[in-house]
Amino acid sequence: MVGRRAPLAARDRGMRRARDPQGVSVTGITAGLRGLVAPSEETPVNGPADPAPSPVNAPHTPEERAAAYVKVSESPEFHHLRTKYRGFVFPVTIGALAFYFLYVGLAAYAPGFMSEKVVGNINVGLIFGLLQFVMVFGVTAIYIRYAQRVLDPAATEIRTKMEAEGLR
Amino acid sequence: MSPLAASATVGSPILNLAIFVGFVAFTLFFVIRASRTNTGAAQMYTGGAAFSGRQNGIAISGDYLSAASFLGIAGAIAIYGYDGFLYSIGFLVAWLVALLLVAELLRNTGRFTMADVLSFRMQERPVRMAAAMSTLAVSFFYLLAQMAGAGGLVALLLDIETRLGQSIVIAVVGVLMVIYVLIGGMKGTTYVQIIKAILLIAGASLMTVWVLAESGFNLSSVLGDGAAAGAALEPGKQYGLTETSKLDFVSLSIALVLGTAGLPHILMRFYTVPTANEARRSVVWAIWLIGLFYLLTLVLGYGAAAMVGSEKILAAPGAANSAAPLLAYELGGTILLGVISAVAFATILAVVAGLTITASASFAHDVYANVIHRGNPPEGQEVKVARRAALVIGAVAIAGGIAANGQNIAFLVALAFAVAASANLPTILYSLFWKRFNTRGCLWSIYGGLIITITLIFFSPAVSGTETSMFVNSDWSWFPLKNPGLVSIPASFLLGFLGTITSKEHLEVKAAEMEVRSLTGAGAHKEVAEH
Repeated sequence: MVGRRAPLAARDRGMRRARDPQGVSVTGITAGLRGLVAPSEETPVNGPADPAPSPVNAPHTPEERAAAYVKVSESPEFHHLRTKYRGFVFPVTIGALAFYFLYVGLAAYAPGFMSEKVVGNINVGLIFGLLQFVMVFGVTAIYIRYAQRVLDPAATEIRTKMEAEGLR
Repeated sequence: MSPLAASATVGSPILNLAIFVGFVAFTLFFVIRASRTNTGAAQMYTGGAAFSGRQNGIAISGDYLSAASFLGIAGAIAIYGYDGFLYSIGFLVAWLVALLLVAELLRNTGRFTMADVLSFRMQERPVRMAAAMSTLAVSFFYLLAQMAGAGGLVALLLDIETRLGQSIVIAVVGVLMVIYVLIGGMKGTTYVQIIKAILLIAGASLMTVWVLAESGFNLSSVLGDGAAAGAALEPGKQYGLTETSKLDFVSLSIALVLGTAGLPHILMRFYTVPTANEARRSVVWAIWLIGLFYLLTLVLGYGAAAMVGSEKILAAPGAANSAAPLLAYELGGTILLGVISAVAFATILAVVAGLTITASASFAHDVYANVIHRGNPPEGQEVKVARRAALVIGAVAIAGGIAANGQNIAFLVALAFAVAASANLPTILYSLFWKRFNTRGCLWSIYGGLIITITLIFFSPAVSGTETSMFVNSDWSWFPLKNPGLVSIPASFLLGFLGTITSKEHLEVKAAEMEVRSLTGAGAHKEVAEH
């Protein structure tokens, strides 16, 4: 992963890529900010100067590369990843937007219902609005879990295999 | 000038000014530190992609929670009540589109600009040109909103009531933003956004707790007091009057929820992290912070109505945009007003700097380096062009901000969202998810969406014909809605579809490569190394 970054540095025409080793200088006032504004430690930019050598049979011409990518895209592993990805994000996005537009529609065309008071001055419309927040936070949490458990391992497996074959 | 307006100038202008200057000095310190490594295009545009997901997530919330969010939404809720809350909800739900459909795939297939992704498999030059045009258009509208907000805010805080004085303040904001961008590049801009996000969320939290404490931590009574002062608890005060205004509400809601994932300055932030995984973490951080903040706007808005009063807010210089600062004055007097104003000022500066860097990067990287020089610009010239572009954009933003001074900034931002949702989002989604999509579809969708949106805005009652229009005394409007999204977004999707199927160009092979890369992260960065 680190090695993949080297060509990027090479392209940047001799620009100085060395990171400031201290990050942001720390005075009493700025100490609290340091972890937030200093470049992150766990995301180094500079890889080794030379990328790992490619396998001998790595695709060289653009045609070979294109064919190799098409082959990956038709592999069962990739079909699995795509199905898992789309099978989650399409219905969830549509469902979330439907819930949002239901709220919008009720606010515009059923103001009487939305104005029904539930507790004190808190009415149906407000609860519906707050439920949108709950929905967004909930979907976010579920997606992170799903991505980490299902999508990331599948993607990493394919990527590792491609890199082993010199397709990067 | 009514007596109310005259007495609405609050706080101590000298103290406010001192806090502004303090903030600028504080952030400039970080920007100048950042400038030490600020050489080359990658540093200028993305800070070398060296930020972590958490840093970037905080910066995204700093970039996204603009003056429109802080001043505009609080004001809209204080004046209209429930209808103002739609902005908060739409702006937040929109992030699900960015999280689920766009952020990671975009990070995997691009490097600097939105056009990197759109032109990946298309005929590069025309698509880059189109994407740059829509990037510049969205950034311009967004900049207008922020600059107009700066004028109103400073009018209130520094007791500057003359048009000329406010114009000078807008010019100062413009000059500062260009300085941030030229010295600090994306890295410096990111620092400013991180600092600002922390200040903004801390300031809004403090005010929220304070408002709740004043009412014995009883949300219901805050709402009730706000409602008694004119901020309706029921939907419809702003948009429920006629069938047309209800449609306007729906139209606005579409633009809000689909615009975010098409905002170039937000998309560009996904390139400041090294991997798609970090891009995902960025969005998750951003969603938590932005969601928290928008919950606070509810209390701030009704609290401002209850404690300041809608009439006093509307009579103040800056009108609805003054709700949050006036509330701060009501709560904590001169000091809190000064602090909250500095936060609002920081908000404007951070957002305009982000917009400027995005627009200048798009011009230099897409138009100059790739369209004019076909990907091989003369050594070192691209960054120079980006810097000059930042100067020009600064000048245009100052002029536009002076012209737009006094408009409701939440509304101006909504227009930027409409352009982004129409011109950018359809092409982004088609590019990522539809193999058949091709150059003609892309061009039709971008230019079609752009032209339709801007035309409809120009001929809408927002621009001419009503008392609240930009041009009050003439009327050339024929499109009934102030928000064009209801028409322009479906039209742009349709144009993208029609353009694609009427073109014989087939790019499925390249599309397969793009899909593999976007989902697996294979070869991320590498394609740019080969240009």
